[in-house]
Amino acid sequence: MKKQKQREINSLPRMAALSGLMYAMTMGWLAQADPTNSVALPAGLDRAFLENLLNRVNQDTAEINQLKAQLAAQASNTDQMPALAAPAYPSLQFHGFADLDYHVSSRQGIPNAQGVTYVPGASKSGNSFFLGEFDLFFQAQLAETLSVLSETVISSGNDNECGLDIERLELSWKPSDYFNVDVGRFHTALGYYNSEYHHGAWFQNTVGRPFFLEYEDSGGLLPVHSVGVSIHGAIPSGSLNLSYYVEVANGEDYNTNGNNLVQNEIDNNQNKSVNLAFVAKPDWFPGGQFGIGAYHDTLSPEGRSRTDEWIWNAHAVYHGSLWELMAEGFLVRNQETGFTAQYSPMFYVQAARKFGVYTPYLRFTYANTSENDPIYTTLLNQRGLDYGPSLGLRYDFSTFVALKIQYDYVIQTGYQNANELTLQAAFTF
Amino acid sequence: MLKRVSIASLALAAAICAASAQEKSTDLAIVVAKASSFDNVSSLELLRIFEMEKSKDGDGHKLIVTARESNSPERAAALTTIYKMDDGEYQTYFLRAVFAGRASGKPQQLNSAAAVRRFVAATPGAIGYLLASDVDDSIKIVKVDGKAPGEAGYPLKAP
Repeated sequence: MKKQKQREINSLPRMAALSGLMYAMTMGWLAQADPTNSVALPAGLDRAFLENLLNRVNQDTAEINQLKAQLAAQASNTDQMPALAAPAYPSLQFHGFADLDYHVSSRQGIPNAQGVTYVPGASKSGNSFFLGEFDLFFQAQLAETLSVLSETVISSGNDNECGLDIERLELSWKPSDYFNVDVGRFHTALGYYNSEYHHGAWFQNTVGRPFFLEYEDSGGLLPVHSVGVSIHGAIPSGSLNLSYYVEVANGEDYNTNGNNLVQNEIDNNQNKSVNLAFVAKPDWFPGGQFGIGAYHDTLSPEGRSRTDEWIWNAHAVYHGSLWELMAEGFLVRNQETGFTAQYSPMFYVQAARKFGVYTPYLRFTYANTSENDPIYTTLLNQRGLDYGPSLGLRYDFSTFVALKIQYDYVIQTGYQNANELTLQAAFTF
Repeated sequence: MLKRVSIASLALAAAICAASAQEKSTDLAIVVAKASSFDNVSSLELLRIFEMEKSKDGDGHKLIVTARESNSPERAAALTTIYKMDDGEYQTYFLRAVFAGRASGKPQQLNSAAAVRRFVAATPGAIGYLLASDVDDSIKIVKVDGKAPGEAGYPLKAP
């Protein structure tokens, strides 16, 4: 109906021109055909025909005038619309994210120090349907420059019980593009993936994160969550478009006693983790970004002496409308008091190309944790090489539902190589 | 004879319509309040504004980005020329931006050219897009890459 009306409105100038022409022509002919006028009608034309034509023109003209009047009334009504109301606070928005999965592996899951399986999604039997994460996301604007964001995740564990975790809870003050403050629990600005991807599997092309960037309670090797303060913003830098992140937080509590590694409430020492990162999104590389960062914490790991931890990272990413290219590397240096420093490099490279609703992707993930590392070897049950390729396909069933299939080949020091397959339905609402 | 005249009149009418359509520019115009000091913007800066990566305009006002409703010709033109996304990618982009804490929501949707004119004219910091033929003197056009709608090389030419 609306389209029909639009077509009618669009055709007004044409109708007016045509009717005008026809009217002028007809009047000309009638004037010529008037009995008082001695000019005869052309052969094949009669007065009745021309009068019919004239009536039709008059009807069309009346219709045009009616449509014009409707248009004018509509425009007048729109112009008199009240201005949009001032924003009311708090304004709340909610989104849910979830994924449902099936995983099969040629080997059984590997329990780590926390008692959960190390290989993401792997099961004790190596063949299971499983519930992924059910993520409840809220964002509320509290004032023009104040907002709160929360992400609460319900997920099932290795014991088949479901648990509830506050994954993010951030109060943000954003007075300018150059200075923003977040307080609470947030994703550490540790490279690209951890800043860009959070708990909704729907956002990422792959079925999961690079394994060393998994969450702390799922066998991850890096402090992906922090509880503290994050200050970030743009740096006036012309076409380089630099931004900075400075974060001070509790750091991690590496232990085998079942305590949460993320220190949500009690820091086990007086030292705070400090993270500094810079990101550039240069004008000459639209869709691209580069970043570097350094993270430092002084750890008090269970059963070990004070350990000095440094994590250096760098990334180069291109995210265009068709291609997604990511390369990111980390170097972890852990030095326990009285021992030599241990270095553990980790990286991944990932490429994905969109073909309509299909996005095939390829990722290679690599970690080589030092055999003598005081944290990884003793407390996270991770030692030596762990690497392999992943190959997958994402199919966007609709805008908000993605189906994924991923094959992984896992090579890990001390274990039999594994072939794994994961199917995932990830969605948002 | 009448048939010939009718054909001739149709041809004339078509020519008149074509000329009329050319007169009305269908380029997409970026518009702000008349009092705004915003005069010119680069294509890339425009993208960052419309992706809501910037929070303030040059006058210190909070930037309020507006959008037309789905399926409107203006929205289609903006998706093609500014965002270079389809509507699904647009939805996903803003969902991701909110999720990552980079934006507080999607652009403010307005459902008619008159509503855009009225909102932009009355709201410091508001920025929107209109077909150039819908711009009146209540608002100001911002040049893009130094070009105004209708000029050769203007980057927001409607497809």
